[in-house]
Amino acid sequence: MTNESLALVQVIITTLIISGTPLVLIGLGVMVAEQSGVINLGVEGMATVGALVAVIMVLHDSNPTLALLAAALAAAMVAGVFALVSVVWRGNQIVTGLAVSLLCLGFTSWLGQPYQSATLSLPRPSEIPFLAEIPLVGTIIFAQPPLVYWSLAMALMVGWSLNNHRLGWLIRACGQSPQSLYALGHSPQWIKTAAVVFGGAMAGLGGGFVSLYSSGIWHAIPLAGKGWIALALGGLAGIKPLRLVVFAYGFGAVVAGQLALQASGSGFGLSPHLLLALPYLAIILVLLLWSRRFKS
Amino acid sequence: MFSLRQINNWARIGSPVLALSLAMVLTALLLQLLGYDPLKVMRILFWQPWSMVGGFAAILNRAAPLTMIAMGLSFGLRAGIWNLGAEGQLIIGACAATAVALTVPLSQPILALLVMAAAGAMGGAIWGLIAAGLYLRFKSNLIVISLMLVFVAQAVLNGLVFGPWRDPSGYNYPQSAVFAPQFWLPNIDGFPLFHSAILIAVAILVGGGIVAKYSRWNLGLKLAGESSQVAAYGGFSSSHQILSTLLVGGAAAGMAGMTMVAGSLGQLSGSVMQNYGFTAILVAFLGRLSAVGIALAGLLVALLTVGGESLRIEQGMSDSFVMGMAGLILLTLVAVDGLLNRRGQHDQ
Repeated sequence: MTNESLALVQVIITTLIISGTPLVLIGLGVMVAEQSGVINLGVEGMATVGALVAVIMVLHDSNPTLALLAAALAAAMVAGVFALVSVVWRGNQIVTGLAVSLLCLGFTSWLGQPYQSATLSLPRPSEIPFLAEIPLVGTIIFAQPPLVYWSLAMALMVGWSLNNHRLGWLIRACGQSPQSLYALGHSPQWIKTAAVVFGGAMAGLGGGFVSLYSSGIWHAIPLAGKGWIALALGGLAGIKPLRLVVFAYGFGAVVAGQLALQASGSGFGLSPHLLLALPYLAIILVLLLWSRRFKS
Repeated sequence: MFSLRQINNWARIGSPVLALSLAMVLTALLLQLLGYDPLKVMRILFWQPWSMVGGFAAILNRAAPLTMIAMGLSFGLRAGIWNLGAEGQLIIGACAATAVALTVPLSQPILALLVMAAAGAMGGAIWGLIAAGLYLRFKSNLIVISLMLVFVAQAVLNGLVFGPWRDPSGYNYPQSAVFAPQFWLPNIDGFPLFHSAILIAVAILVGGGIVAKYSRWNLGLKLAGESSQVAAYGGFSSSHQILSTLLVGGAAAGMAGMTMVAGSLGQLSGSVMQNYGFTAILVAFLGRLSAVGIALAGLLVALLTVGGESLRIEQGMSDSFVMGMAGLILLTLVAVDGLLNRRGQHDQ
């Protein structure tokens, strides 16, 4: 392999990981909330709050771990408000979610104004010993921010608990038949609230990841729709987080491929702006193929 | 789904007022916390637009596309058909109208505008029908499909204004050439600042209100919103409802897109939509899906955006503050409704 094509492969793999990880994080939260019976259209807003909080924390303190935890906490609090209105007070879920998204998108972009184009200086992520020494790809795959590996570990954990643990069964029962759960002496409201707050925390982590590692700079619309995409993917994946990981990295691959097409200048004569539609068309396609397979 | 049957008439009017005041108090607290002068901000936001020259016209001009889209959306939303893709339908409508203005050689102004409006409405309707068709064919998820199509529409818009339609004499800005004068929507005769899109919006609101009150179609949608079984028992087909509401919503949004490009700008630009398609969903719900309500909610949100511009100019505050506040108003409305509407159930 020439140096140039090696560099291209490295860029593609990095893009794939960096654009897939926030989708995994946000999508896991969407998945858990959806299994409990709540569609959270507020994720885009919650993730944006996480993105802003992470930037502010890093600028003040520059410890990324602390910043990500603060992002998760802030977004979880927003999710708490969403749960209060939509679960406890029984406001319409979809309208509440849209209102929360608008509220968060508007206020974060306003409050983030002073941080516009402030550059973040983060320590280079440490490499994983031995694995990072694998030639060619080692330094790319095994020298990512720790949250990349944590997101995969969390996918395994969520998958295990949704499928094999009492907690996961309670959440799913809550989505499928809250009445029977109530009859058994559980409170569906609390389970839903907990699931939504967990989803908010995950969205905050995802948003924090985006602003710390994919853009590395604050701008007014940090998520640029990643929350909506995670909403689609998290719903599509059902109770299988590994499927979510495949979808998310697949989305990352389409994004990376579209960048590569642009870089190589071919793009089949299509404008690069038009190529930006590819990832979304891919989601629609997966959605259609998937529903056909399961519903026919 | 979205149902108002438990809300009595007092609450129907009272709770939006309560929600608005609550949202204002919360915003004032936030402003105070951040060191702004809340009274000053509120005065600029709610009062200044009325007192400045052309302020009233600016409010109506902005309310026009918002209320058009919201009225079109209200039918589907009433039946619980969640078309969240109005932004995309708006964009494609604007592109279709622009295609006419840039390529079709029409010199007669009225004919030119009619053809352009028809193209806009058709573009939006087709984009809506694509979502409906994909949803029906594959029984997948309408929310997700309609949302994803927004991003596709945005890519199409950017592909056009950065590509073949880019104005060669436009200093490389992502915008089309300025249309020939016969493709400009005129101002209302005798009211120099008021745009004729206002008249189109009024016509759509009145027509929509009549359809909502008297048509069997809307009755079926109402039933479907309460319970899909009841609607099916009454002989209303859900796939017909999905197709027809996305057609209507898309056409209204496309029409709004046409008025936006043929309006004050007279050209298509990459940023012409300003999220009106999403804001209109908010307007529809704030207005409780009724024509009068939508008109009032559209005026309120338009007032906020005009006030938001003064805020930006005078206080250096970002426009997006206003979007956040609009979201807060909707959130408090849902909360107030939910509280008034609480039932002694433990399920759901």
